[in-house]
Amino acid sequence: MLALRISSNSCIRRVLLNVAMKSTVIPCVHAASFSGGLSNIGHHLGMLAREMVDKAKCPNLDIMVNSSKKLWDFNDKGNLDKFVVATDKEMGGKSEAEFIMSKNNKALFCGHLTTEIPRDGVTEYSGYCTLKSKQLYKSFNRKLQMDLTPYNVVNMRVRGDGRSYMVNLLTESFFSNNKDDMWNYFLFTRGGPYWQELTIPFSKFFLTHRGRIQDRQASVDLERVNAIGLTMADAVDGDFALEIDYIGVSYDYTHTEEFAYEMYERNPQPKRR
Amino acid sequence: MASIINSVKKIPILYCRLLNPVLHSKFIPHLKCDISKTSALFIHQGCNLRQDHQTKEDDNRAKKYAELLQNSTNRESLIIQDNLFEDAYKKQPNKESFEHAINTFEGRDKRRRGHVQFMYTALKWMKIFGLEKDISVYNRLLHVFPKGEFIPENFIQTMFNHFPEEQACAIKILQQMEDNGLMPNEETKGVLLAVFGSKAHPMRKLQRMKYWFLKFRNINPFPVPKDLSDDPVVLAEIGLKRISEYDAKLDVFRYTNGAGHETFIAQVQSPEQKELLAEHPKYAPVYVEGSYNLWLRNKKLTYFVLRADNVSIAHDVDAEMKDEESTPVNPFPKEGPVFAICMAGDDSQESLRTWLTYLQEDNPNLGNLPVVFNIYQPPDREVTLHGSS
Repeated sequence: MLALRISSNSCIRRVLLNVAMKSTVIPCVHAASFSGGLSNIGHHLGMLAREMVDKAKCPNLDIMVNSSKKLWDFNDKGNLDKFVVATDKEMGGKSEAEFIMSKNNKALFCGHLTTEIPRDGVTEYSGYCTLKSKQLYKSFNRKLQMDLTPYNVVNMRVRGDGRSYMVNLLTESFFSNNKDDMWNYFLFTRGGPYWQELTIPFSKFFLTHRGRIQDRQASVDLERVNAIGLTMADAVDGDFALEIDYIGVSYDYTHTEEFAYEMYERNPQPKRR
Repeated sequence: MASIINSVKKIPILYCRLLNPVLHSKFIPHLKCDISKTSALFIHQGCNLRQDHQTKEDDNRAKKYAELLQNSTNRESLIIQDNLFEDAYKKQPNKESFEHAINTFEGRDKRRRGHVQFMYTALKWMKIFGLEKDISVYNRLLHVFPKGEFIPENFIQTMFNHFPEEQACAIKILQQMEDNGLMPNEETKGVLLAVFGSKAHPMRKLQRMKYWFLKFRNINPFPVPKDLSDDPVVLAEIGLKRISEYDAKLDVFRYTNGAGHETFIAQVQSPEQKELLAEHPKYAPVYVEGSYNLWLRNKKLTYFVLRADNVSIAHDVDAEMKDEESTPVNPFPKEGPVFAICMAGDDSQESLRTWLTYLQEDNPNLGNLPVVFNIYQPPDREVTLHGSS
């Protein structure tokens, strides 16, 4: 028993070391035991120290000169593993999807959408494939959020097949009942052999919760973006393919809109005199 | 009782389990014939669902109730909606017969017992009748709800989900409208106001639809015509205009292929592409690539592309030979120019060769170039990519 525990600890440590050598971001690894947890503290303290040094160096100063930033450039194969694919198979559906390198050395989100409803007697809709950037972690397994406040639009260079997709922004929520909140906007593709550069302002993103658009809207909290994702769910059975060159953000000086949707009161009361 | 029946309709297995003891107890005579017939139908459904566990006894019971159901001349009970639509469909599968079935249901019983179930059944049959895109049918269906009965009379009733089954049914009808892209009209609003009042959930759903439908109606920068025809030539024209350059010229020509079938080829080429092809060096091959998918809403088209490698690679190699210290050649070449795009009636090699012959009339330089057919016929389901030379 003891031997097993030790070996598992050393295994975890080796994984952590490997990861630490590759990048400063480590995946969320739960310690198998108390001693295992203790042994990770040194590593996490080291990470914390590095983070503090980084912060002292002001790594975000580039936003003063650069009004745009590429979040993921898929020209090198490296960014492919920073995304995860999920389909409706997780709830009994039959759609398939994958995120691979295309023959042009770009990323390709492709698969087959099936709207066949799983025969569990409860599900009423099916047919989605999603692509989501992996959650990043900093020291002590704290979630690392992207701060996109210096920017106001999403830029993408894609080549689609005429179908429409959806861009999702997942943010960290303060209350746990908001954890399924998501901000979405549509991505329309032209299709054909030419690349398409598209820009989506953050102000256009609308709030949804578990796939339902919400009555009380709010603009997206750009300070705490956990992940950015793409969804294919246009209710048409068949193959889909979206080739992606890069996903980036930038500041568009001409775009001054803060939020595209009205913030109506739900039950407006007549004003009393 | 109505609420039990409604919930049972949702979960047939549970229903069956619930009603089995009730049916065979002494309660049956008190419940009168309506309920017994209802149960008979559901028992029948339930037995279909759990065939594995069926005993002979169950089988006999189900048969007995099915007989009872068939033999009953009094078809006034709430359970025969399925038959109602089935009969209407067999008679004439159109809007008149569908509305006639609704009228028949309304005329049967003053109290409109089982109208919620009836509406769920009608929603199911609406797709079979091909009426799921007709707003007037939805409005007619909503009229089945009794007016004024479900309007909450005080704020507590408003708060606590007054007549939840009926509200859920109305929401389901509105949801089906939404799924088919139908905007509710003034009549829909009037009916919902008269049935559920202004603060009920169906009314909220209607308000949401009216708000968000208008927001998203015209946001697609590459719109597809509302009614797409089934004619492949028209579809090919729409598709090629969509994916080609603004000043590209569209040509469609029909011919008879080797198998003796009438077929067509549609192609687009812009003046700029024509110039590029005329200047293309003789040593570099051009490729016919395909087939790629293009979706126009739910219609899938396939197209082929005539393109070349990126010529700048050749320049890079020349530069490297002159100056050895220059930057190394990118191992992943960028995509080359596209010269023309075509859609064919049949995606055979023969039609592509015919296309090239046709293309050569306008682009004489094509005759000097080596052409490589890079055709990928998907065996079952495959995704093809651009620039795979």
